[in-house]
Amino acid sequence: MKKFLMYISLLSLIGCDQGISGEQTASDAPAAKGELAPGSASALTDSRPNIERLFLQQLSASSVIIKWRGAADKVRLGKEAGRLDTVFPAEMEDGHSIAHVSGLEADTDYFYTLGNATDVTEVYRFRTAPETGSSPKDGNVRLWLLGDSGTATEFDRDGNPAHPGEAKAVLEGFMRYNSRLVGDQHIDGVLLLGDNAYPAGTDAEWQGAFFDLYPKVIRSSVVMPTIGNHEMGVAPINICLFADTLACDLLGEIEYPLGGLSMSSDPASYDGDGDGPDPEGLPYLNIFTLPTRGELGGAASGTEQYYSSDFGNVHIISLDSQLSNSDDDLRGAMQDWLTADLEASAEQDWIIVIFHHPPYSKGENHDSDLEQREIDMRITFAPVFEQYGVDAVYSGHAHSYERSWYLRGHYGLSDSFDVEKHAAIDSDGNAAFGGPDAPYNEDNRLVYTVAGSSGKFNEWHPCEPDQLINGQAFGCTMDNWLLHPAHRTFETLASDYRKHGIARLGSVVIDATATQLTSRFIDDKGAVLDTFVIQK
Amino acid sequence: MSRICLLWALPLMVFAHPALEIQISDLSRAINLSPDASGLYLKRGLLHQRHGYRDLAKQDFEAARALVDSADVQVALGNLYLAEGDPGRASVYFAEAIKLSSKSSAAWLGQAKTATALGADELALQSYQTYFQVADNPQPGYLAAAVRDIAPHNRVAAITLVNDALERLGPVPTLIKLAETLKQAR
Repeated sequence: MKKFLMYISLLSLIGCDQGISGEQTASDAPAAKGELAPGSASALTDSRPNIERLFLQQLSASSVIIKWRGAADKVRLGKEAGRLDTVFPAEMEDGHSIAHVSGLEADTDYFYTLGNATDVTEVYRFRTAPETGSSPKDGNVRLWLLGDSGTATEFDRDGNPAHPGEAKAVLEGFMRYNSRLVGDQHIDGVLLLGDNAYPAGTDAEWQGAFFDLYPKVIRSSVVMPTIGNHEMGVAPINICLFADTLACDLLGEIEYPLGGLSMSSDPASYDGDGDGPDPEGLPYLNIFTLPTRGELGGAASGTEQYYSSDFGNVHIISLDSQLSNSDDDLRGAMQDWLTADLEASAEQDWIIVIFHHPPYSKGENHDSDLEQREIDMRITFAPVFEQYGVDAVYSGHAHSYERSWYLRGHYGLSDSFDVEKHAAIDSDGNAAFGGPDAPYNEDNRLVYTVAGSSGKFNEWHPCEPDQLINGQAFGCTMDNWLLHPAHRTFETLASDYRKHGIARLGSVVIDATATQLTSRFIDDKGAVLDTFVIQK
Repeated sequence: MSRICLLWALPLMVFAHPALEIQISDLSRAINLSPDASGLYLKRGLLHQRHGYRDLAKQDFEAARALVDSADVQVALGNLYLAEGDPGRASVYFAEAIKLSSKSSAAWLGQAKTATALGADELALQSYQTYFQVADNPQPGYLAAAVRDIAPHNRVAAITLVNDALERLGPVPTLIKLAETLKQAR
């Protein structure tokens, strides 16, 4: 730590204006549709308890877990905003209040407040899941996916936001898109693809990068996360290995604890600040309350590190590509669980899988030919996905957008990819795009999407020779950046388009009806840059 | 100026996954700067072991232990000897780790594995059960591996263990599969 302070001091002496400034503040994100504003007829009192971090977990057809922090000890709930006559007391668990709400009706809007003996919050609203296997009344399950969105807590050495307003812009772009939709705009679930609290996934970073940014969405939609490398704390590294700088010349080495570098498979090894394992353990596991016993469908995982949940006719699986994937015994158990989970969910219309490390990617610094976690995920799980009918896989990690062809049978390195052999082919003999005009519709094929630009995006800046270490690029883009042949091609001529990917801020939205799954990449302006459709 | 600014930008670019060699080399530099930091030797030793450099790993662990003895260092040494096929020697380190910290789940897990390898089934079973009790997040994968290890020597103990695991973790597929296999082998 002493050396780090020397480093900071030295940099302060040197001074450097790299033009990053601005402020990322708590969000004034648009409200989810149907939520009542303060002061409405149903706002019961002017005295509000101080509540933060209000969000939903394990939302099913008959129950939900409501979590928060602050001066409230119960939930009042009802089907009418003015009649909240059912009370559920909260317990304390890992620093959060948690209320287990049960006895609900499927696919039904509920209103709720939090309160204590004297105060009560404004009225919020959520909608229960449809019965397993059924589509909701509005015909559509809508899931919003955020990859690597946690940049609101990433700062430069001057204390300025490293990516000012970028995560918020993605939120606003998506809300702009969503508000244009005709009919129901309800978001059923928010799927987090990892790295949602930079740089180390501390409790405070989760607050600043996630809970402060999306409060209105996550108190009406269920949150389903996965563990990214930046959820797993820091590890020390000499940053002079990567750059020939004056500061390095002066100091020799600059040891610095950086987020995202943990190699451990043990959540107890979590180190948030570089001084050794934190006694509180992994914040991610303290914050989220995830199903471990198959409570929401599928099979019991026995661990919160990977889990699954039905939501109506959609089965959602979250794998752990960070911890469990780093140990042969744990990965094997996860594979056994996945197989059983998929067998138990075979009747569902759609199966969606999320995990952080993309099995197919040529993102900056994240090459699925080189990173062991990406290779292990591809080799171990891609055959299982195909065999058991997974429809779509979503990852983050690389700060760009890549979306695969309709794949089957490719588990090797990128240079072994053969379009004719591994991708679905259209009537012209080319790889099929799966757009709305010609949806995908085959069994045992699936689409892999990399969507890690919900908080920052990479730009083209070619590597200098000394930025390549053992063939891996650090802090620069290699010639093969966004050129993985398993991903669809783009013809668009723009500076942030490459042949097989887009480097632009954005997020993904999935709409799943009984017969059609549509996946769209929405940029920070609300424009749709890519769409694929799977029909059954 | 551009060189200096590059340094400023570094943590923003960084860096996802330097190879093991880079982290080892980095820790070596850190050790040169802070030769009394026990934790640095332990971390480098773990990376050496992951890389297959067991002799270097051993040197690092011993260096760490000479500076500050801890359950973590003892566990690291125990795991190293266990991986080398020397459970007798490994068991000494795990026992010492448990003395230093009776809440170390890794130490109990290690002791359970060495006891299994040495045919000390009672100790293995007790150690696995203690691992269960002290681990914040007992992992189904470790328990499945434990049951597989112990079953050839002591089927009854393996059944007890898998049943405990199923009770605590729920009907985890990999454990159910093992329970069924053990049942069929009756």
